[in-house]
Amino acid sequence: MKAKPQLDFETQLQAIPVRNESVNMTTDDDKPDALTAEVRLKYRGVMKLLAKLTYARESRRFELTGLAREIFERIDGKLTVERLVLTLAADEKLTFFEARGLINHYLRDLMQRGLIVILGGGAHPES
Amino acid sequence: MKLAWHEFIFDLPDDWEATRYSIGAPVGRFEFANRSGGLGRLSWEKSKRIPDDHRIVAEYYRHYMDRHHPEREKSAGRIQTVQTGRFYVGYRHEGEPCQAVAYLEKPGIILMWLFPDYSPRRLAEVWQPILNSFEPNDGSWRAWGGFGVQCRLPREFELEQAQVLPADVWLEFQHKNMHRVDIHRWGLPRELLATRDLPAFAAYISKGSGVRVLATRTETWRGMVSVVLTTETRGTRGMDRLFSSYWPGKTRFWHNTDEKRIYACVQTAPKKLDLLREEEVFPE
Repeated sequence: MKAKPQLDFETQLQAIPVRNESVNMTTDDDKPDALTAEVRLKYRGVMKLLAKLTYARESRRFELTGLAREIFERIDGKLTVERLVLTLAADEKLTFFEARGLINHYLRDLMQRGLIVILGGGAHPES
Repeated sequence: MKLAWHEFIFDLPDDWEATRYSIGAPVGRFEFANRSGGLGRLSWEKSKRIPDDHRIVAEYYRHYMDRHHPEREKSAGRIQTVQTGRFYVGYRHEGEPCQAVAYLEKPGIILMWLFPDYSPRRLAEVWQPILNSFEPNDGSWRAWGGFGVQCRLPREFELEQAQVLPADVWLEFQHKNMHRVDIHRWGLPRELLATRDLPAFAAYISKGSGVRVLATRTETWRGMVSVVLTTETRGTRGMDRLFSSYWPGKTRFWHNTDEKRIYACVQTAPKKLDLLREEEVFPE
């Protein structure tokens, strides 16, 4: 199998995370500190038919609290990964590589759950 | 930042971060970087014979030219050298790497620094201060420093394991007599303590490491909130292992709010041994 091309260090840092606009964000009254993100699930091809037959769920909900919520709220489609890393490092007294490791891990999680996409360095969300 | 590992101690600029590391005493290396890229590589290797410093440097440049500039002349004759403290430093042109070699006779170890991108200014302002800061780590209490942890342990303790994750560092030391000392350092305390206090966090971590907590005491240690756990662990040697006897242990957690870090020092040892005092392990 062909290995996925790796992004170099600089391109990774200049990439811009952008929120998925179709995600429904809400805050419950009983949990004011938590941000609930609801992602609509899309099934294609045979999976669409199977989902209909098995009454598969149509959405998934994620709860973001504490630092996870703060970082998610910072994602505005303009801030680069580097800015997120530097902000986290300054706020939490982390080293650059510690903050980079945590931010990369978190962004990967958000991406896998369909909450954000990452645009390559230099790209603009509208373009 | 003080880097103290096995047989050496260096003072490094604060923004130098170790991005690769080895735990082995006979051979290993550290690689350092910051936001701008690679800054240097420190490697060590056991050697019974005194090495020929000039030959090491010349051979390095010959290989370097072979790999990067095969079209250029390969003579290493134009290497310039300078003695900086214990280190024999060799360099050629600006933009090429600079190498520094030293031999520590008592442990029989060759130390080699490789700095990328030589310039006279960098040599004088960054690399020479690092080389001049070298101290042999040969006391009866050996210093250990790296990844934000600074401690010292009796010389007989050896580094058994190290796990360095972002904001989660764990170093494990062990004596031949099975006395074990683990040092932990976590970042993001406000996340770790968001839904629990320090005693609850300490209990959670201890539970995961398989020790039995006998007593918990909260106190102030060096002006910081601290939790002391009296623990016991199943013996792992000799008759204690055979009869599943428990070994006593002690764990201290403390929250350094200035650094925004939580530390833990976990100790277990066979019954007849005395545990170390944290004041000795973490000198102020």
